[in-house]
Amino acid sequence: MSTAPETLIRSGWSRATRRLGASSGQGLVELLISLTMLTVVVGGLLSVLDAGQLSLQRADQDGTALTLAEKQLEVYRTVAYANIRLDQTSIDAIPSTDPYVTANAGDSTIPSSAGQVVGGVNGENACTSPLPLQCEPTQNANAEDTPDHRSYRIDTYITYVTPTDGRQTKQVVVVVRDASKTTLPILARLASTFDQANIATG
Amino acid sequence: MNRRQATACVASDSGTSHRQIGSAANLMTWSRKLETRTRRLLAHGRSRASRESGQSLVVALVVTGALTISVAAIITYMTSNESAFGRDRQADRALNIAEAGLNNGLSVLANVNPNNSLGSWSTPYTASVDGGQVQYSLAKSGSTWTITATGTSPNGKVTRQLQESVNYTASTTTVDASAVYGDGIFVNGTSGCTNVTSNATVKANIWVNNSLCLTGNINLVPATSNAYSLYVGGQYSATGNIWIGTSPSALLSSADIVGGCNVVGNGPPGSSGSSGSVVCSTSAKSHIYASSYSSSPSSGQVKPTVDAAATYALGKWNTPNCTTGSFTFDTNGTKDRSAGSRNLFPSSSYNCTIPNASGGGNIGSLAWNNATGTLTVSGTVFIDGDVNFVGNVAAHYTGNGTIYVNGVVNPTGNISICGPPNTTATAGSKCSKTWDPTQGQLAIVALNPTSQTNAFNITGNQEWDIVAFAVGTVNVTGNAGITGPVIADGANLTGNFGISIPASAPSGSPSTTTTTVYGWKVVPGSWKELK
Repeated sequence: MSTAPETLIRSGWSRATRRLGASSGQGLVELLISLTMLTVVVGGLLSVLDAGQLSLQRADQDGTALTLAEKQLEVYRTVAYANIRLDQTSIDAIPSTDPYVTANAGDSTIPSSAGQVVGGVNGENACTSPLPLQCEPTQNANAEDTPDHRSYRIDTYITYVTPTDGRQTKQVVVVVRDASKTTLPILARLASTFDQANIATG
Repeated sequence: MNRRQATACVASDSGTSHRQIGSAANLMTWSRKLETRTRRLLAHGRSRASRESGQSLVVALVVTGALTISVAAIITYMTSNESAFGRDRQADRALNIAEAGLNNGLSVLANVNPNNSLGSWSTPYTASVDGGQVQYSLAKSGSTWTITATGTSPNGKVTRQLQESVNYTASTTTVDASAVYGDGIFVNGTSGCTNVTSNATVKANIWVNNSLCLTGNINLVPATSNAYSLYVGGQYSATGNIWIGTSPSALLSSADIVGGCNVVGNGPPGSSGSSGSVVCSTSAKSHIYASSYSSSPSSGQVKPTVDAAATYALGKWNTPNCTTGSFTFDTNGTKDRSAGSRNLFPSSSYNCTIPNASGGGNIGSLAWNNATGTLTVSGTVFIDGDVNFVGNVAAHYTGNGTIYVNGVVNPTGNISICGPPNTTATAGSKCSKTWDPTQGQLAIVALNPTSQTNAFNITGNQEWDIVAFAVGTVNVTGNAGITGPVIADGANLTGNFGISIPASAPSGSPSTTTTTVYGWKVVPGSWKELK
């Protein structure tokens, strides 16, 4: 025969073990944990997708910029040596705070806007109006004219360079900038030199 | 074993002892308990298995794993894409850097080996271009040089190697040189002075590759501003009452004087007695008034090339078809000055056409009407000798053509050759500078094959409304003048020049220049990318 306290303990213990052994409510906890995990992972996935899209857009933009730079450089491969020059008046019209002028201070591999090869001087053909592409120090590629419908600015620098033991050549540096941003960050750049014997006669 | 089978089994053993019967009963009881417990256990297992608690966690883990793999794949893809594009950019830059190396190599070859006299050149070169490096070398094989250039991208991870071949070749170019017909005076020679003296007026551009030496009363003043330009390849020297434009109503469009300005003696008016070297752009000192000044050498204008042999080969000069009188252009079908000295304005008239040497049509015609004093010219005319005029003659001409003189032009007497519309000049008089080149124009080209001092030598009271083109020097003295362009290798002038300027070169006149230049040329199709 068991006593009353013993009976109470036994019944309490039995209730506790039954409650612990019961599965009701566990599904909700699991669901919450699962949702939290999924939220974290899906959030990460979305972030990655967003970053990926930005990356692809940037790559796309850079690719277009590179193509524009190539196109501009090719212009100088189709003209006579004396036609590889810029228009001094157009250079003078560029504000002193413009990146075309200030770029050299931050990156010496971009030539200075002063002392460039200009038309009508040193035997170079004059730049006459309307200015041909090869005479323009800066050009705007507007959104409607570009394949990705973005705006770019194409800066061109032409300087005289004399290689060791060589005769004077002209170095053309093309810098393509993002015209949709006020700071005009550089997207692509290319450079090459031109000897008078290795170009067209146009 | 079910209960019936177990009962049957127990029944089959009914013949055994009571002990055995008791054991069998126990076994049956145990068996029943086992069966009951098994059933309970199975029921419990089915119940646990049939509950869904925990499944969502498993699914979440699986989905999380899948998504994690997807994220990793996307990150890998992005990284790969970025990397690939970054490499593309570097590769592009490396290619252009290598291209710069080819050009550098070509410039070295042209500089150290301008006549292709070297047999080899083994020194490799390096240079920095666009933040990257390029190494280029030259090698000779047979008569061809090969330039190899390796460009390294700015990040140093991509290299591109290019190669092209170059040959030392002659190239001939023919360019339009008719711009000189827009000048009042064009002098091709680079040494000495183009002398303009005494009372001279020029109303057109002046282009002299040598020095311009002005003495006396010289007037180069455009009627309106920016009408004329001045180019002096040497020094500008002025002595006397000299006006080169006036300020501000009649400025020259430009004054390009390479060798500086020198005022001799008292200098021009307004120079306050300056003497010696002055700054050309200081108008008060130099008396040169222009909208712009420079001192850069220019080859913007060149003298047209005269190909006497080719011109002679155009017509059958020794067999002209003359409908009136006769004129001797040539006697033997050979360009050897066999015509001697010819007078364009004899006392008898002539009207001759010259058959085209290639057959069909005429290359030119020349006619002289002694009664009216009219010379008619068209196309190309070649006289295989000198041209001389004697006495006082006032001829006027019509038509549009060029007379090539295989000698010099050396008239004596007061001879005027008046251009249209003038038809009223009389012997010993001038033409009143009324020539309108749009109504007709005549060019006389003195070929000067024997290199006489003067290809044109005009003196006296003369006015020639022509384009005077000389291989050599044009010498005009006295009170004479050539109102059309003077195009020569040297000039000593006085009088009026460049008063009437044709809009284009006269028919048959030299208007192109051909130059043969030896130099390095890339062999077409030799450019290739090695790696």
